[in-house]
Amino acid sequence: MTTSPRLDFEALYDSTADLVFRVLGNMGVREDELDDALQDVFLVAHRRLDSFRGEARPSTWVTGIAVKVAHDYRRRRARKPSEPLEPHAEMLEEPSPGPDAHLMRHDGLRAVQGFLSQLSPTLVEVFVLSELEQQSGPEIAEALAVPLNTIYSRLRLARGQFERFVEKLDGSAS
Amino acid sequence: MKTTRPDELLADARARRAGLDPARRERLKRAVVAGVAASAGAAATASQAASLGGSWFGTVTAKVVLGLAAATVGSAATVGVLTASKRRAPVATPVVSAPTRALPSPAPVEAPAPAPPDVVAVPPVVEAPTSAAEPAVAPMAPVAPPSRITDVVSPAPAPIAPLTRVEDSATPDIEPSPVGKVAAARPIEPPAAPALTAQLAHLQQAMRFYESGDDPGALALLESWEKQFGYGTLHLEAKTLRLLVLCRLGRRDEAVALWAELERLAPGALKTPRLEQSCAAPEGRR
Repeated sequence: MTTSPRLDFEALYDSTADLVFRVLGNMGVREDELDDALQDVFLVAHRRLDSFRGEARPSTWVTGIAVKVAHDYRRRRARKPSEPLEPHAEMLEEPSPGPDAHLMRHDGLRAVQGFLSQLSPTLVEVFVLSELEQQSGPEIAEALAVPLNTIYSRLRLARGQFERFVEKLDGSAS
Repeated sequence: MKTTRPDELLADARARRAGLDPARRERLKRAVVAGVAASAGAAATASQAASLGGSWFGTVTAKVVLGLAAATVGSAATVGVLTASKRRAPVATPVVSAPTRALPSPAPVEAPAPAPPDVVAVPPVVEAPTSAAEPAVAPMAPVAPPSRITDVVSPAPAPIAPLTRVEDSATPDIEPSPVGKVAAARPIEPPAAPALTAQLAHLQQAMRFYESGDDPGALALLESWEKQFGYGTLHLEAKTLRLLVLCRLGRRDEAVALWAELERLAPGALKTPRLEQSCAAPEGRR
């Protein structure tokens, strides 16, 4: 009989807090919600420590929780009557740079943020994990609990949109 | 002009990302550890929560929080049931652990027992975690009844270490740092919600007014609560109390409207005897 490894919670926090923070921020959790969201992630992780089987890397496992928490925050925000609903994913047009195009050409982070803010949430997830966090397809599939082929097709779609976004950057800035 | 390359932009984006600064990371770590300790104490506190039966507020809080949990169960199911009060336990505890008229001292707790599901979110609000890792906090003194509403509207500086959003709220007008933030292109966000301690102190004061029969005073405080905190963590509790106050003031139409709002915000939160006997409850439920 094999026993699953027991995660050290404190070590888990130390090794993944930055990752969680970045993932939450890139997936649309607002700055003023980031601290709460990060705590949520680790409280859930702590509660689920016993269910960690060691089949995925701890960082992948925590990333999966962070993605769901980020999703939860976005949804909760959309339910508040005082805040406008975010546009439905399917209603989003292809991202295109706005008046900041010139700045975006010289600031990759700004460009990516501008792009992500207009991208469908399902594509944001794979794009962030792949292109910013540089996680592999199988890792992303594990974290999101989505079939690998779906991950790859979403990634293709997101990359294509990013390329066109960048083309528009040049067009807008020239 | 040089053509921009997607891979170069991405590399630049990765290079510009910043993680948590060390101080923030440590502060959050303490908060997480304290939250974990509070969760661990939840089972033990369940029996205490039950002992709050004499305090309608304790009951209402339990039920309302339950309602909140129920309302969010769809999304929370994916990550485990979370409630706001649970994660903010370390912030809330200093206030509630201070002696108040409304909340009787909890009886000593024996070995932790499984928490009944309907009080799962309450314990952090009524018991201070004893974790050594909790940030050092000084208990807040009991709030004396104010002579003016403004005494309460402007919460006194909380004698606690900043835990979550206090620092952020102090600089709402500053352009957020570009640390991995998608929302940079959005308009400036409203200030962050103040700490739970201020919300709770304000709400407890309104409750004291209500219990002493000063309904207009309680209503004024609740209206100022809403202006100040909006959809803060305890907004369901605040609305619940306002509903009861409106009933006692004979303002049934407004109470009914509030009932409908609560039902929409937290289906199931209204299933408490106190609320079901209120003037706002539909005929069939009274």
